[in-house]
Amino acid sequence: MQSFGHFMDALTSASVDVAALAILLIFILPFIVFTVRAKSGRQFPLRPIRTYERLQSLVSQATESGRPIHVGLGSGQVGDVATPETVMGLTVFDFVARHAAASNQPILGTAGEATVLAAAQGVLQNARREAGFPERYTGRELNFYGPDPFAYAAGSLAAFERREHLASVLIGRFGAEGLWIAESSRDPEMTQLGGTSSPHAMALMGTALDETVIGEEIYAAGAYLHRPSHLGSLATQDVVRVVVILVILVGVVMTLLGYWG
Amino acid sequence: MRKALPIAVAVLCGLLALVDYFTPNPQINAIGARLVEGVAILAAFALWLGIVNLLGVHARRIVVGERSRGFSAVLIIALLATLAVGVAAPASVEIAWVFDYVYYPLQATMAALLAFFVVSAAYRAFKLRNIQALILLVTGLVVFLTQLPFSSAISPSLPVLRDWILSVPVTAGTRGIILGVALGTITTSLRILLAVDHPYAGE
Repeated sequence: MQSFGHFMDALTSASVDVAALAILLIFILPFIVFTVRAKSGRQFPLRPIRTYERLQSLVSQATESGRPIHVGLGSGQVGDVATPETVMGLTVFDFVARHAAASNQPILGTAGEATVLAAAQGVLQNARREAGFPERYTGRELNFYGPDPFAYAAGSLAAFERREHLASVLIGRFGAEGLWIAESSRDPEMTQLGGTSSPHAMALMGTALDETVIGEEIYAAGAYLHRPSHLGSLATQDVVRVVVILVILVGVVMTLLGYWG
Repeated sequence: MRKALPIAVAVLCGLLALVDYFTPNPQINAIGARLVEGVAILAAFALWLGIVNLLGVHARRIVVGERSRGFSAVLIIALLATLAVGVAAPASVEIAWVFDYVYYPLQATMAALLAFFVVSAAYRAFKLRNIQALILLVTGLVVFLTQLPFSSAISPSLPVLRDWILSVPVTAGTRGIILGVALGTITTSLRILLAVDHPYAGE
């Protein structure tokens, strides 16, 4: 058993790259298997997430009321460490944009980073074109306010003041500016949803928004809203999570028995 | 072809960058370096395009006489002035003045407002609606009280309780969230790398 401890020490201290490669390899096989299954129409059971349920009903309400939904994509960049959560913000924006485009309704998107603006423009253009209203895309429904988080917050607030919105969804990379936007645009007539992956920002947004996604729930947006192919990666996450829990339990038991650490 | 080409290029570049990270092969490292260089060049051109576009949009607002033309004028003057000072004297007292006396005070003003927003958000969060809110309120009050210099005079066990709250339940919860986020980050990255998701192609 002592050798197990030496093996773990060697693995973690000898080379970080080896550990990273091992983690990547653990993910790839179940990811491919589950994604192929999801794409072939296999159903996976999903527990309800209140934020996504409310968003689904809000897009229908937006069609009836004519009041747009705002999607704030945060200050993260496509290409840095914030890419995954920013991409999930774009996925939510895609969902809202497709519903708005199908009923020829307006939408508002705000971005705090130029690469996100370009990606969101592509998403909206695509949604308007696929719905048969390509001429409705003017680019004026998307606003970029600079990479400074507070400049982004101030710009978003100005955009809110131009017209009444049914809901605001703040999803992507947010820090304290998430609380700033949520509190300063607070309106009983406007539902506020959102989420981010930073635990500290999450706590701030959790107090200010009506519904928030917690932790990895942000990465489930596509699977819950409109992308069945994302069910594969969600299933992979769950399988690896079980493995991680088992490894933690084994580690705790071995440490308690004095074999490791 | 309109979609297939960007997807193929993105997947190829992504896989090359990944292989570059894991292997010490000099040829692959050179390709990786070239890719990073390419991104920097593209970003520089995008920045110039952005400046030209920004000037165009706000100049049009002034010419048309939109209601916000005053703000547009301020933006153009500030942009050109900062650009001129930055190009003429990049590491000077003048450019430092722009940041020290204009940019940072504005940023500090915005940040200072956060204190009021935290209070109003905390007021709603601490409303006793259910058992979770009660736990939050009691925990919050304990941690809040122990920030006071005389907290140990109220009860010597208060600082001990604060340390336990921060090091056991808070750390455990935060680690759980961080682990979940890490798993989500890896699967989302794999989705992009293996072209299950392609946000760069407008999807």
